[in-house]
Amino acid sequence: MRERLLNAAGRGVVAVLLCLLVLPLAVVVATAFDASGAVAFPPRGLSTRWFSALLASSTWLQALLNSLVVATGTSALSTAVGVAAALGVRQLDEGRRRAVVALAVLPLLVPGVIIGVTTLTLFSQFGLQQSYVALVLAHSLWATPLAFSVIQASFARFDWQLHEAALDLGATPIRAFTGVVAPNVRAGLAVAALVAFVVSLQEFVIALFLSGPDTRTVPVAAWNSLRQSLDPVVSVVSALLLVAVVGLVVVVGALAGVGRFASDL
Amino acid sequence: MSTRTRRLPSLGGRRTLALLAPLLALDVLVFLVPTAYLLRVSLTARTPGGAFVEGSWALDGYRYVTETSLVHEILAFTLFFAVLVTALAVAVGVVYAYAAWCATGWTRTLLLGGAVCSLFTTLVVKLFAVLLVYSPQGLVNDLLRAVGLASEPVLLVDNLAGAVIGQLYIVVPYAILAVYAVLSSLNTQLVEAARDLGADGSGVFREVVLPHVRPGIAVAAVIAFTWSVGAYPAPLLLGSGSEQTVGILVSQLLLARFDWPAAAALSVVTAGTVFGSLLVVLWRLDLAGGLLDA
Amino acid sequence: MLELDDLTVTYGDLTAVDGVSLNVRDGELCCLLGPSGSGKSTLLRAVAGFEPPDRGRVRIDGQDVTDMPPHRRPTSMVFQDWALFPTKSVAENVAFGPKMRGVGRADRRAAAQEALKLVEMTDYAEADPTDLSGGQQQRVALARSLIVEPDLLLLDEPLSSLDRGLRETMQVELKRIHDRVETTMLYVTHDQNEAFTLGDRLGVMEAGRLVQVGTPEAVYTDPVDRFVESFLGSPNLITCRVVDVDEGPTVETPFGVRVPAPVDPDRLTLGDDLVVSLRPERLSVTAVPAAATDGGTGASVLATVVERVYRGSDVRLRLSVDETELFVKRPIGADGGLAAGDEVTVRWAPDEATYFDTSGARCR
Repeated sequence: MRERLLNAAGRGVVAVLLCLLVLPLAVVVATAFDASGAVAFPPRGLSTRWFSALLASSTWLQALLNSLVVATGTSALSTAVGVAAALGVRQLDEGRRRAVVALAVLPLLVPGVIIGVTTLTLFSQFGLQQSYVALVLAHSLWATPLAFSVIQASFARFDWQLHEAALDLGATPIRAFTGVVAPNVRAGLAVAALVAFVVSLQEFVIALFLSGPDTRTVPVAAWNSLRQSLDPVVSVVSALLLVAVVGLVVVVGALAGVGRFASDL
Repeated sequence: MSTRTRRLPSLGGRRTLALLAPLLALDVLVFLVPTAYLLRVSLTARTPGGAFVEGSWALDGYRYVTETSLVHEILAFTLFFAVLVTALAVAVGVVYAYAAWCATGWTRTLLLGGAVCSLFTTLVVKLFAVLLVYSPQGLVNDLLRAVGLASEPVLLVDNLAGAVIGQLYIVVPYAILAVYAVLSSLNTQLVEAARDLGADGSGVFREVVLPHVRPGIAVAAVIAFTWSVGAYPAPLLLGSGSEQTVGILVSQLLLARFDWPAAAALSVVTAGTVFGSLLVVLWRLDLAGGLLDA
Repeated sequence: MLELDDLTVTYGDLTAVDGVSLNVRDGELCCLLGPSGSGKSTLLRAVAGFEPPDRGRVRIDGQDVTDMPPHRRPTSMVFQDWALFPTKSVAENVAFGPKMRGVGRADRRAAAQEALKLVEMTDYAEADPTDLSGGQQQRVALARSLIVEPDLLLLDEPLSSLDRGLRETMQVELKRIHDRVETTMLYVTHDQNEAFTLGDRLGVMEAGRLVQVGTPEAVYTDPVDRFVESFLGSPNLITCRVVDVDEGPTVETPFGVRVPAPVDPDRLTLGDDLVVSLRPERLSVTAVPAAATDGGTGASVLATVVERVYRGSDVRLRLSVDETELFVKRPIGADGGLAAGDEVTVRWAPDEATYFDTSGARCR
């Protein structure tokens, strides 16, 4: 029934939109394998030499390491805070719940530039600018509300009577959570952790303000490189990031189903 | 017994507070406190030597914002840019999300997967790729010429169009998923009922789908608007240089000119404008409830 | 009016509707009755145009509508959960059909008022449908469908979400409205009582096939096969063995008694199973002492009362005969004040029982 709601023209428009949406992503991957070294599309001959160039570059390897450290930290922090908050708001009345959700969501509504500026001005007072801590905290500001809402959605699908039954049968609150709740919302927790990880991995504007030479993440390094010259290694790094993200999305999609994942986000 | 439990915070209440504490701490310490500090910095005196004069009270920053005509132009352009991007992003988001909702099986997975991949791709990478694809020698121009829509290369980068296209690549995935999240709760039976009562495809869309996705549209518009007001990399990389936004100016003031009071004041004014206009729009559309639910 | 010709709808490997042919007459209220999963809702949705048939035709008033999209068909549907538009008021919901047909605002408001009057909901015109009770939503949905004056009104278990008392009130109400508007209706339900109360005729569906069509009385008294018998009438289906064919057909019950089976001998094979169905209201029960004088030539068997349920209008008895359970329905006072544990004699007239062969086909 639903399929017949869109006419041929509508389908055509959407097909074009889909192509435009993913075309740049495909182009990045293709240029990473371009032998000529010119950043262009379509590639004129395939080569993996820019991958070797990447592995030989300590700057890029450092950036990759920085990105992984910050993303892992953000993922851990956001998921932990998100789980606690999602458990906490369950016991609040409607008005307070809304207030907490509003506060959590608020940073998402602030442009990255402004978050970058505000956190930079404060962190620099404590000499924390350009540190991993600053990056993880600032990224968590965005990652936490997303993780929180994913976890909340998965809690909402859980039958909390099972939790009550466990408590009733003598389980401590912590045992009840790890033994009964966690296994049932595992997919939701995994999705939340991955979402937080990817949010940090791809974030650029805040990182631009907060990272220094030693903590520069991949997007910032790529940006700096792009502003100077079109370095084919940028394509390689971008392609790697892209493949990593697509891989994670596939994993998450398999865990939770793409439709549900997309509507939880 | 009952009076005691009422007076003292119950164990449940304390546990709730403990569970919420990390979230509150994060938002207060990393968001509200810095925002307050920014407000304070915006009220200090400017100094040519360093960032700002510590402990001073002055309106230098705000005077700069209100009295510099370049700042006015940049603010006006930024708002125009944000409204334009928002309108386009919401339109694309609604159409795309509706198509994903109508689709089944692999088509739906493909449509949603495409949006999610784009959402999770570093915007630097996306913008870099957009530059390649939309440049005069790029794929889009090749296609336009191949199908006969253009004989000369169409300039799609290094101008306003480029800045808008780049910004759209950043916000459209969010718009799509925000609308889809709400659309996924639409009961198919309502669509069938409308069809049954004589509505054609566009009637269903207008009468059933659009009223249902209003909260999703509100979320999409809010995200697109606020992020476009703060647009920074897209206009910088894909604009011509005359597409100066507030974000670009703030970072220049902060990082190149070390004029912290001016940067802080401009940030405060921008954030105030964003929240002010959002509140007005939401209040007018009476959508605030739906926004928090979504 | 409505003609279905060999209509077949499949979902992948599953045949939801299997070669159904049916004629619904003008002004008739025809019920489709069947257990869940029997394909009755799919059939209705195919008539509405929501399910494209794999085979067969749908004709309404002689016009072939098989390939017509739902919004062009002269049908209108009342959905199981009513599917009222939550973003529109009651009046806007009812006025939706006219709006889609390009009727002006004032005219469609007036028409909506008229339709709401028919279902006695004028006081709620400006209400939000989500604030209404189930019965009220049901009335609004009916008004919304009737306002477009469909040639054929389709109702998909419209009362199944209501509680029992309300359901019975609404059945009467529906009947009244049907008599008023004289619209042809195709009504899907899994509730036998509802089908009997409402239907001028009913069609029984099983596994996608339409197995029997007729007036409620005809279907009840003369079921076409074992499925219809067990679905509509009898919980007492007893598998017996044919022990004599030529000398007056006789079967042996699982509890050892031999009883005559007045079935055409040509349809019987010695040693085969034969299912005998005993309607609960056609079994008579007497206390054992009375039975002792009986010669035992007819169909009778000794049983023990397991449970006696007083139902106001009648008494239901659950009896056990060895491993077999028998259900009996007797008028008040006709069961002689039996109690659980009593020994009784159960009697029936072999002529009044129905008989089915191993394939489920009716033998008599």
